[in-house]
Amino acid sequence: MKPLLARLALLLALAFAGVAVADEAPAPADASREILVMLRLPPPHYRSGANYGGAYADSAGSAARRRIADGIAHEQGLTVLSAWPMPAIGVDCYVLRVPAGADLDEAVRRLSADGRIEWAQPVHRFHALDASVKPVGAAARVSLYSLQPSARLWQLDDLHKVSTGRGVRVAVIDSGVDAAHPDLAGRIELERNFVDARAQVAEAHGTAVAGIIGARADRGMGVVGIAPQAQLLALRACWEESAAVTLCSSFTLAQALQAAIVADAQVINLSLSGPDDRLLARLLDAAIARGAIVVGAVDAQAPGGGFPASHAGVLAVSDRVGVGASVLSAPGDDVPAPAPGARWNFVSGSSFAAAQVAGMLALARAVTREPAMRQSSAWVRFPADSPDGAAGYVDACATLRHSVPALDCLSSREEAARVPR
Amino acid sequence: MSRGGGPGCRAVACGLLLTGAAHAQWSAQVGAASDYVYRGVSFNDSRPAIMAAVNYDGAAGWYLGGQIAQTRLFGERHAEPLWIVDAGYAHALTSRLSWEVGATYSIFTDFTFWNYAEMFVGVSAENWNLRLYHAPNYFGRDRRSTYVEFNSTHALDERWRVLAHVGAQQLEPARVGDRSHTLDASLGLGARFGRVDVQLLWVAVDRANYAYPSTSPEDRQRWVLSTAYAF
Repeated sequence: MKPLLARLALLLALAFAGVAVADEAPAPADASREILVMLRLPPPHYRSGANYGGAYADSAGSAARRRIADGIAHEQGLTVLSAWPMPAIGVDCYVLRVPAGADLDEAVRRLSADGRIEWAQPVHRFHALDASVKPVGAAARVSLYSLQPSARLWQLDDLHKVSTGRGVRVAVIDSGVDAAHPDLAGRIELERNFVDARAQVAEAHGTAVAGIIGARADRGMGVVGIAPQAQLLALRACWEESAAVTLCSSFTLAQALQAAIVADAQVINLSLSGPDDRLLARLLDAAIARGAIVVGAVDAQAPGGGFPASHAGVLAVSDRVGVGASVLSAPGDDVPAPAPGARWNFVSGSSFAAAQVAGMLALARAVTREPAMRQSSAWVRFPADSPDGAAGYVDACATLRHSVPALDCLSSREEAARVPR
Repeated sequence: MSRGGGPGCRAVACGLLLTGAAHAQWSAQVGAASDYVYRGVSFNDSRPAIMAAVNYDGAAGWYLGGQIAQTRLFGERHAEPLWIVDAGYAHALTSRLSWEVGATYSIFTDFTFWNYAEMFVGVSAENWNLRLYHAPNYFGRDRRSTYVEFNSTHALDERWRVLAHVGAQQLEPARVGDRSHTLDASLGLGARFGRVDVQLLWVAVDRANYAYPSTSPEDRQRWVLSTAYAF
């Protein structure tokens, strides 16, 4: 027995010598030469050596998969860059870099044929959907409420009499949110950055989307969020490539979706578009199966509206009318929204139409556990003869009234717009 | 047909376990603890112990495992290894929940009459598990043991987590001077540093427990610091 114990002690001592190199690096933003490899994550079960909770065994399992990933990378001439567990869909996801000059598609084909791998795929690029941004200017220290389409078309004041989205967790999977913005101060329940190691990153697209969904309603200035008491989860999966371009990757979006699932987000907003992506599709299915309502912005330039809006079960939202029977249309022109650095912009595009619908879903989720509004067919549209150019847009107040019959939508839109906030 | 299964039967069993061996995952860990505590009771005379474990996951949900731990039980003059082997099957019910059924066999190298088998069923989620164990001849003492345990982990961040455990055991038939019911619990913190896991737990039982051949059955609570390296 003693020689055995001595050998184990030596092994343990050697093991500790290599501890410092084991931590994972944050995901890199450049994804152009990267492949995602999925290794099966066995269902949790009894494990030898697990003591009071099984945490040791979790480490052992992930170490085993890391060893397999390292072996695969070595055999294929690739480099393991990062890893992330995706227990919601039963895989560990590894990011492998393909060397310059090697054929990325060929590498994916070779990896897909490897029996140790569940599946392999390229890291896809996604982009946030916005058409234009115009600064509000120095006049922003006044209320912008009356300029919000939601105030005029959806009688937001009336909606807030029955629901403010209190307690509903809304995941904003986007670029960084300026949590210190006056409209958003105290409104961010959880901040995670899946792009780089910085603690807080304030970016325009994410800040606008988060503000439209859940800005404070008690300031008397700035904008009023559709769901001012929802719990916002700011999950940074996108980054500003330039002032006009915001990009995301399959890996960062997958990490954010996994985090949203773990946090039991009831509404998930994805104001972005890109190609079909198997990993993201599996995570979306898992989120929807757990009861989350997923909102995706429609990309007018992409076939079928782009992914994830085109994915089954995702509520697709466009800023245009007549895009498709199953696509919701919401106003998306010149929507006032917070911008980093205590500023405000008028923003336009499907991104912001989707954000308004996500906010509406938070209001609905606060008053009913299973809102019919998760189906596009349950939404009421303004009729063709509707004034103010509202024809074809969703009538949020009339839609929510199905769940809350006491909701008063009788006040005219013009009167509602004059209500000071 | 031969009793106990011939080479054919063993081949079938092996085939079931190793189905899809290409997807199989081997893992191992070595560790040390300030004491080896089992269901709230010290198995190593309240002394530091080292341990090692290996686990195998087949592609179809079958799994195998084995561990060796340093113990010093009543009547043993020296530290002796306790071997525990296990086998089972786990299946995901939903993306949140999985169930499992399995068995363990504990082997004491010095006093082999303590050897015993135990079966279990359980359900597991991402951060908790609930298992019911039954042993028809617990520790070879002609007593039936039924043990239910609930384990939970709560991640504080990427590194730190809170660990909690409660367990309840019933032994039948009851013995004079020894209650048949025992409760044990633990609460503590765990941290992960790459492949190294560290835990500090407060472990307690509700009474002096003479069901085990422990050298310190009266100790009702203790702190246990442990660490393990996975590879």
